[in-house]
Amino acid sequence: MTHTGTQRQPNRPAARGGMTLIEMLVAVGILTLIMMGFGMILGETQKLVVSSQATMQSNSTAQSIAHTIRTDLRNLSRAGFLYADADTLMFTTAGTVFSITGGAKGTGSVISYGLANNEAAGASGGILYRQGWVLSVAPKDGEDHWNTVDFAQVQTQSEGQTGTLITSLLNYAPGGVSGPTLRVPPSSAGDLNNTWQVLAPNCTNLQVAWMDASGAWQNSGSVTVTHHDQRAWPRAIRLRFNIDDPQMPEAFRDVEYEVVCPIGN
Amino acid sequence: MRYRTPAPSNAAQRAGGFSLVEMLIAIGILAVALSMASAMFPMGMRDVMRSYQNSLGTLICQNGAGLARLHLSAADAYWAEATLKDAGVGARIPASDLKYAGQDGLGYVALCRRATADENDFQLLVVSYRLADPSGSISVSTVPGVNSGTVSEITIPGGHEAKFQIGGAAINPATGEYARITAVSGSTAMLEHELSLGGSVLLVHEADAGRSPVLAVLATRTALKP
Repeated sequence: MTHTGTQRQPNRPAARGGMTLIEMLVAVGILTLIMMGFGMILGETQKLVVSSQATMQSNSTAQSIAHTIRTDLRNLSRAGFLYADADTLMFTTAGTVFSITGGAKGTGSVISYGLANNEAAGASGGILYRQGWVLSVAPKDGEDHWNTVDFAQVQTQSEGQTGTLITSLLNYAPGGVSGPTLRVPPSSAGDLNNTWQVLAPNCTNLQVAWMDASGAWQNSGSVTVTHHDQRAWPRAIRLRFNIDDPQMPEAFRDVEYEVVCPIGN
Repeated sequence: MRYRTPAPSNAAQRAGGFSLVEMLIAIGILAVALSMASAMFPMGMRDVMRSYQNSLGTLICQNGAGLARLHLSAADAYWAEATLKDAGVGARIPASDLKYAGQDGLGYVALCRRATADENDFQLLVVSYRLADPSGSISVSTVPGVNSGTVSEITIPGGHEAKFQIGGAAINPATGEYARITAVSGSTAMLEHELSLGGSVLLVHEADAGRSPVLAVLATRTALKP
């Protein structure tokens, strides 16, 4: 029997046939190290994504609140009144307004901002609320109009009458002035009646300040100004509040925001 | 009986499997590719993070514009020249009102100029910033000796390189036009769009910082209190 052709070397097939177990383990080990390094970088990237989303969400909420406050203060009318204390702001606006929850229509409204307790189970922080009443003497169903006086009457009230009106309105803050309360998320149909007032849940540390005639910020006590003394009106309003969303990473919680709005400029 | 053994070809050798050296070369190529890809993730995400922070910059600018209108006076002789000036100089705006929510390293610079001679018509540029070092300070500089005309690149004069920071705003002090700086290479700063310059540029910058602290710019025409 004669064999022709090239004979394979005895040890070559082993060399070309693939890797030994040791070689394979070395290769897999190196690959594992590389993948671990890549995984760590991906982990850091994911953290950045989460923190970016948290920042965006928080900033977006603050922007929305700032827009609402600026719009309201742009419509402020000195023919009515303004009341502010360390954590409440209330003022009149002029112009045609319509009820959100009822069928009322008026030529002015009263807007108030404040911090309410959140009575929802497991909720942390408070609720930054914005309450608005349509000033109308025509009785209508709904939660957002004030049937006893319209804007024309507010303009002719004495200071004493305006003070009484302010006290009444403060007592109608959600849950009453002694402890404003809302429930977010709502757990009953009754809770839903007040959800239109919610600007942002998870809010803490609302601070209202007003700029006096000298340009200094004041936030102690309270200030009440009416159409009777135009020179006493604050030049600007400043609201500071914190957004503390428990779903955000710890480093991005409790962010402080500030909104400054000139009055009458 | 004769057998013909086929001559080994390269294909047949490859079909037999990889050697360790081949495997290591493949892993090496994979490692290089992964490291290049992973280097891009943090860079891209930092830019995303920055854009999110810019939304805060807009809020700071709006506050700053309101406060500038409250504090600045049209009768101030400081506005005699029709070029942009830092309204924070001389406590025209109190230092506490230049900060955002009383926080160090976060605030705005208000730049103002009379837009129409002898009239209460002003141009206001509000530049919000976040300092890399909260204990540091923000600087406003007018750099002379730059190229003039309609430019998409600024030739940086010697000694002023550190003031041209990526992401910063290059502002024409005579007109209030501005453009963001997108890149700095040697003595050249690239702009995001063309800008008319008259031989000088106004910059808002932070000392010893790699990137510009500028978050957003708001430009408006306004009247000031008489």
